[in-house]
Amino acid sequence: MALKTLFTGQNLLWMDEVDSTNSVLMGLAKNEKLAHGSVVCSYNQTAGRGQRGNSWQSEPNKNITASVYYQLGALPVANAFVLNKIVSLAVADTLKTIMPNQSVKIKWPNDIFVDNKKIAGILIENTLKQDAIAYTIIGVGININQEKFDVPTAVSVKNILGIDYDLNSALNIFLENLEALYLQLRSAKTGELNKGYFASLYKLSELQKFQQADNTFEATIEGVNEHGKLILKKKNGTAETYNFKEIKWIHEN
Amino acid sequence: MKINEIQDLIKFVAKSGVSEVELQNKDFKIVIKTNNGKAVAQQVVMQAAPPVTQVIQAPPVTQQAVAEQKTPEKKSTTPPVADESKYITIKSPMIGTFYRSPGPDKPLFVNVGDEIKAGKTICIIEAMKLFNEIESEVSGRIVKILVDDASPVEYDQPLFLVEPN
Repeated sequence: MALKTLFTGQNLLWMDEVDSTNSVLMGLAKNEKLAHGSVVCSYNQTAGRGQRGNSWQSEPNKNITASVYYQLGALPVANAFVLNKIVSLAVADTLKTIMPNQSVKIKWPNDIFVDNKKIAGILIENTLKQDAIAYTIIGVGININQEKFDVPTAVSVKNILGIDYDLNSALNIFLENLEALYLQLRSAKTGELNKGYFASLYKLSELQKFQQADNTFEATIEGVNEHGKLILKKKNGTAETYNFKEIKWIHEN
Repeated sequence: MKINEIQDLIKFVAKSGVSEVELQNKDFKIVIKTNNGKAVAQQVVMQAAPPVTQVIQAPPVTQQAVAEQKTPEKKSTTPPVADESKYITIKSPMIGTFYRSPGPDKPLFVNVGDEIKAGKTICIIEAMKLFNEIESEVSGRIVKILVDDASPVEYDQPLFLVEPN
């Protein structure tokens, strides 16, 4: 199946084995003039990186790991959260195409969940020049055909559908979705982006337990504001906004 | 009377527009005369023998009164301020968490004393799970790192002092 994009993945560096697709692409971006939309991709990433210090583990030839390079032409830092929106939506939309009957959710800010389990990871690394984002490296790992995981909170397409899914098809769907959403960002169609992001938000309008410092509290998830802060409505009726590091989700299973 | 009190008094007199003010208590007498738009103070310490005279001049418009002290024992006790005016301060472009290395087990981007070129990555600021590499816009030597690794930073908070070259 041919890739139907204008620029995303048209310059594609395929690697049989790689430590981290983000690291390779970051090295290329720093040292040479890279085409907008360049992609580094592998189905065998051996040292995938997640959030700072966390690793992303993936069995060889079971899942897709890919990184995309976009020049952003000085995107203001204040608008940076839109990157979380387009990448989360691109991954969620891809999984909805693959599994039309599943409820795929975005756990704020950018985790992708199916059935309360994590099915994909996102690592976005920006480079700032003169206080604005010059370019971004968007890394994603999507669990496709892996059946066993070291952590009970992970899940794959195969776990859910019971059959293998073609990795190349999944990759192409993702790259096409990402490009479409990137073009929405560039054309400033943020209303549509917000609508899509909110529609997929995990636990939206539900009561959820959180921890802030030493306190735990229950609150209803109301949405996300324009800076990406989570809006929580507390039991006394007041709404407050939170940064990612300010609160922890408490999951009771 | 302390030097900063005298300076405040001079400013007050200069602003008030009066031409001469005389203050006296048991220890000293101070006379402030304004002429040609400048306030001049003469403080006479009464108990000291021989009397010590301080002359302080300050233009009324500026906030900094320059003290010309003739009494060696009244020398300013504040140490000379290091000339930091030649340094460039690199400030945080955003709210977030400041990191000095690409990862917990990775080498630091820069250390004090390092010579850096413009475009060199000097830190990462993380916000909302977005990792933002900050590049230096100046070439020079890192003189000081003003924030600890993994601590929160505010918008515009000074991060590094760089001596440009």
